[in-house]
Amino acid sequence: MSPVERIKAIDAKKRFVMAVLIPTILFFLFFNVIPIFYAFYISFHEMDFLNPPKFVALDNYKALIGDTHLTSSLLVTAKFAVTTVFIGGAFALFFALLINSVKRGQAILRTVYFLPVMTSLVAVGVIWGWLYQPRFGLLNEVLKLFGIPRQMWLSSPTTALPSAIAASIWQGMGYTIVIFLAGLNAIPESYYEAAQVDGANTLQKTWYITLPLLRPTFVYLLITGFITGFQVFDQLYVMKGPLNSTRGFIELLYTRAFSYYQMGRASAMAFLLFAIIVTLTLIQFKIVSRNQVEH
Amino acid sequence: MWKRRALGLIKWIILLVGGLTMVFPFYWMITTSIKIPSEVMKIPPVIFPTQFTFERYWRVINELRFGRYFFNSLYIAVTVTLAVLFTSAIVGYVFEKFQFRFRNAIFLGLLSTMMVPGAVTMIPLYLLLGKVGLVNTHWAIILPSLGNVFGIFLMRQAMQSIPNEFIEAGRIDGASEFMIFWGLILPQAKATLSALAIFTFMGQWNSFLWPLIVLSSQEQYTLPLGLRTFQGQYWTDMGLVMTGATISVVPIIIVFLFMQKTFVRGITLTGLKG
Repeated sequence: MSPVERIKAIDAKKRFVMAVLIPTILFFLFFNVIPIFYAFYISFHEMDFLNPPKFVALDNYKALIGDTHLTSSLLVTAKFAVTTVFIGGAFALFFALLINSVKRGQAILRTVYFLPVMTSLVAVGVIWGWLYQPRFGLLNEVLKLFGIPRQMWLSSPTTALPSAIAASIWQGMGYTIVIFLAGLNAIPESYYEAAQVDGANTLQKTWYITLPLLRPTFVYLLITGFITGFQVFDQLYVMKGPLNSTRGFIELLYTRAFSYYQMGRASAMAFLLFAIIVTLTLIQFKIVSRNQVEH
Repeated sequence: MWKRRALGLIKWIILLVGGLTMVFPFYWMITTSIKIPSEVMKIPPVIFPTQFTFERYWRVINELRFGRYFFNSLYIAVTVTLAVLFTSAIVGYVFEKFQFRFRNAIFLGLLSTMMVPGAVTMIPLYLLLGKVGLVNTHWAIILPSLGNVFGIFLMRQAMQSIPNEFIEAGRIDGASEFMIFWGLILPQAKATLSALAIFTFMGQWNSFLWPLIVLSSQEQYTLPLGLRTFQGQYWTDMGLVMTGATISVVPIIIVFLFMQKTFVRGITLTGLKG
């Protein structure tokens, strides 16, 4: 290449980088960065659609303290996150271990368990709403076979949340199973062979080899599970129980922002959620790194 | 020996019961949608119906606008998926294969936006889109979805395995930078692209909260919104509601069954939740 051509080539490279980079930066500036700062601004104002924003300093944040709707919605969300992560995770691990241990049919089993993951949470809510229906729903008919009296499921404030959580676990289990299966596949076969030589049984192999070596998978699922769990909305909104028994944090935020036009208060809530998620994630990282074991 | 067999049998029984629990709600949804009216709410329930009607499908699609919702969902999901594939691939390519100032700083900046929960940007984004008159149009859904940090991250990873000699060879042959990307690089990232495609499509198809915020007229509704409204209006006619549910669930399941290998590989590759 002659020097002139080389300069042209550099120019072409530079132009290409610029042509890609500038729109990208502008995009994320407009759709991510500016909205975050704008949200921060809104959270210090009293804001609806009709009147000009009014500066209220920390009032929106102060109002979060002692807000009973907020605490109850936070409790619903926390219950949801904890149970889906731990109970859902335990079920998924159980089934992943079983699927992993069979010789044939793994692919089809994985497909079957994965089907609900593809389904929209709205559809899941609608389908389970029908199964849970107290008078004509199938679930109560099944219970009748075992002589168990009719349950109210989503129609009673005490059972609504557990019922909605059960349906969510049903929906999300396949995803967790696939993640566990990937973790199980990464464990070298030689570990099991060595244990075999030492005369270990299946239970011992699971306890002393599989579970400790699945640690990275557990950590990953725990942290991502809490991050998504605390942002739950769809299923709790669609499988709505009486007396706000399934009203989670995001639903309260959504209602305040878009039904009561309390944009400022809702934005303060959004930052509270942000802080909660960051804190929880940091605590989890701390615990995880403290209990680090060497293999 | 018999002990081992018995254990194997128990294992399979548990797996089958679990599998049945996964599939049965779908079976119940579909059969409810095609049962004759007198059998829908019959007690004891009719598990294996022998008489069928498909009349509800006609009603739900035409009279009750599910055809419209279906089209809206499809249009949005396809547009967003194609756009995300293109933007993620080209931006990921530029970050991986070109040197420029502040490269890592910009990339970290992009990644850090992923930490912010959607709830924070939801309200300001709604207000901003309202100012430019895009609320209650499909653009309000499509535009913010065009750039996808996770997609960029994923595509950058995929570009790592493509040798630089390829690009140099293209330059020596006199291909333009864009043609190198389009003709030489893109085809080699097919595996990751198809995984990203399915996730993006599924995410859009099933998305609920953001469309709920920005769409107000029923003409514009997507399937999840239509289904939710429908459930409220026709809760007494479960056959009708289950028909709507079937229409929104079955297409994505068919897509999944055809592409499940890519899909499962994609999950293990990305650990991404739709």
